[in-house]
Amino acid sequence: MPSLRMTLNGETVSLSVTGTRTLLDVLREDLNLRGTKGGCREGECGSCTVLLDGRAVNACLLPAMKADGCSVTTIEGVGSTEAPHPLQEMIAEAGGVQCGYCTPGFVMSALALLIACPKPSVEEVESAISGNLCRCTGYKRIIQGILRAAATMPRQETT
Amino acid sequence: MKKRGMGFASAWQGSNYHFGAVDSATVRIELAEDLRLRIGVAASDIGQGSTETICKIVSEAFGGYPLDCIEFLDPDTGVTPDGGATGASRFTEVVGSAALRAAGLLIETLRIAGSEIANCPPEEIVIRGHSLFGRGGVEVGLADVVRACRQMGLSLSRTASHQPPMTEPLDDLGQGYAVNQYAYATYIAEVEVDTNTGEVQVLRVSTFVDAGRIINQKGAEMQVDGGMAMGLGYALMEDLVQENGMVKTDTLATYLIPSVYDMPLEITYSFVGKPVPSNELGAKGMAELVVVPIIPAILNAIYDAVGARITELPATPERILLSLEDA
Amino acid sequence: MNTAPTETEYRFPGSVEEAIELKEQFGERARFIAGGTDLLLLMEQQRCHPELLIDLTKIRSLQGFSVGGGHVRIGSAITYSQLLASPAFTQAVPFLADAIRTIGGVQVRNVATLVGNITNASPAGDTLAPLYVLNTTIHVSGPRGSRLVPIEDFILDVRRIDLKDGELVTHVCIDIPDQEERGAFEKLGRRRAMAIAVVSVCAVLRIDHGRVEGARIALGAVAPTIMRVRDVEAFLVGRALDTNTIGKAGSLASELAKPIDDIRASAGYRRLAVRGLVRRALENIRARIE
Repeated sequence: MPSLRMTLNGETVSLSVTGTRTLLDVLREDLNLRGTKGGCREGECGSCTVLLDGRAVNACLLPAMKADGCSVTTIEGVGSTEAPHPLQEMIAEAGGVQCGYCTPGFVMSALALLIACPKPSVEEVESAISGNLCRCTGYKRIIQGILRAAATMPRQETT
Repeated sequence: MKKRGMGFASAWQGSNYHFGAVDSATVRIELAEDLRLRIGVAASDIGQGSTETICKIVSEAFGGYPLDCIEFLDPDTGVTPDGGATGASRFTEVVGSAALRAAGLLIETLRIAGSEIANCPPEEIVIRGHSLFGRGGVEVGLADVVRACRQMGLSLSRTASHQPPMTEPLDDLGQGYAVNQYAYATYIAEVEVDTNTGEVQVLRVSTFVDAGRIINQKGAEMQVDGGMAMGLGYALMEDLVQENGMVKTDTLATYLIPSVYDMPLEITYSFVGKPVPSNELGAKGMAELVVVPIIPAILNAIYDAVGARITELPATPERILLSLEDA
Repeated sequence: MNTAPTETEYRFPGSVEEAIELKEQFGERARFIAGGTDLLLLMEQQRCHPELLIDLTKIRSLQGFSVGGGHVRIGSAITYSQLLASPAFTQAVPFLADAIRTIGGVQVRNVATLVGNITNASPAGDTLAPLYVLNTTIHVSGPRGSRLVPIEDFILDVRRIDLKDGELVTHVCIDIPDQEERGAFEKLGRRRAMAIAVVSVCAVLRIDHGRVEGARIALGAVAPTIMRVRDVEAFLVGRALDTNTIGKAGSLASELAKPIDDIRASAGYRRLAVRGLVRRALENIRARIE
């Protein structure tokens, strides 16, 4: 079985996976990181968004082997209930969370945006989250939350 | 060419169970020695924000009890009283009214114990968060009152129920008292229609909602946002296509819901806010109501923009353009 | 879920030669993979059970990307995001960049490749109409050497391409429109992001003193492959790009399209949409000249 070695949320992880397994399944089933959600499993909804070398990707459409030698960040590596990331805090405060299923994906997409573009415009935020679907909020408050987080965050906090 | 149009629509939607179904909720509130208020009711927050709203109701009843000292226990019919289902736009009114009543019973007990310490009749005791105030503004700490209750053998757990007025099934002529409460809404939508393709963009929406007293303003606005997103999807794209009894649009790639680019960012909210007399809370549910008026408002706006009268949902670019061709 | 009948191998060959050798060895049991966004869907739907996935993205020679000398050269490991990040690319072929921006979300564009869109050969592939009007050449390597194929010959039918055993696409070469040419891409989907095209149109016109001197127009999602509408192109040449001409060009394109009914739209509507989108594309070009 091919062997996968990646840096996951700052720690080195090695495991064996078959070629057809997706990063989503490996994260949730083998590594028990359930914060990354499987929504559509066909790259339509963005719920499974993680960062691969700092860029947003759909974990459901990524063979886990593609993460070999890469750095992967999941929502577990971003913040916790006790110490939330400004994005998590601000999106919640703005009212951008209802059922919450899509939220980890939005946070990851927003994080990728802020890494590349710390002070984005509304249009840049919209573009960054256009691959994420939300059923509950109508998006407006998610956008507001991301903009507020960007306004409060010093540059280095994104990484 | 792009043409703009505006549409109005109003809707009403019954709150609570209808047609003679029994609707009730029971809520238990406990005050622990650490001064945490624990609310127990088996009624689930599925994202609509009901937990926050119930905590707010209880906080207000206690004269502004700190929200971080209020705990909403995990709903479980095995350990918490039954609050009924999350549905029928009933949670805030029915569960909230029961919570308000349980809070009232608990406050009554605290007043009795507090009156012993403050040396005044229980009716004169006022509760403000972690303090009780007696005659002449004499302040008594809540911790002392809780201790007094223990010594007096008074339980600090109170349970109360609420039941809205009973409804009845409709008779053979379709008559009867089937719904005990309606909420009302009017939306105004402005759209832009591309006459080349029939594509519709919703530019902005103004909403006006009567849901009685608004307990949680931000939560109410969020319900409007979410209901509108769902209704906009129904109006323009969501389509459950079936063939020989099989659903053809059975994935998120074929059953499309609005993306960020499909939703208007300009939304205004107005709530009538007048308390209703049918329950102590003065509130009525609005969850389903807020989904509805956006749909006819968009269809009317399309008609205003290009003269296409769409009578079948969703109003896809195809239906709009074919309607324009036929005209 | 891991329900593949056998355990699938995953390899990263270091060179094109090594990749071809592996493919020859495994034949039909192996699949090349670049971004994998289309292939993973097939595997998830149990429509494809490869024993070996040959990942091309770490082969240095496939990571090449250059703009210059009248051409854009794009290696098969180059993602959409890499293309959009290059100002030289977006300035050279702005309407191809517009088409790419309509594909998926950022997450898909960060891994999916332009060459993958070609080899997937969906009639609704968003980059294909622009690539047809840009006279794209496909560079193929295989066990018996290399060959060049024009994109119109490379894509044979719905999801069928001219690749023989062991062959792979190394890169594609695009002609950059010259100074006098202006292009536009228009796509109609069922929503404004992440939608498969109901119809797409790409047009490039050369205009001199108000008259059309040359035209290349392609339609997407209205036939088994992308359609160049050469009768419309011929109609436009020699005419002024006025409202009357634009209207007639749209109608003519609509007559030429060979759409089908599917879950996204009826054939009848697709014809109307072709008319509308061709008009919109030509109007956009006119607006940019004025």
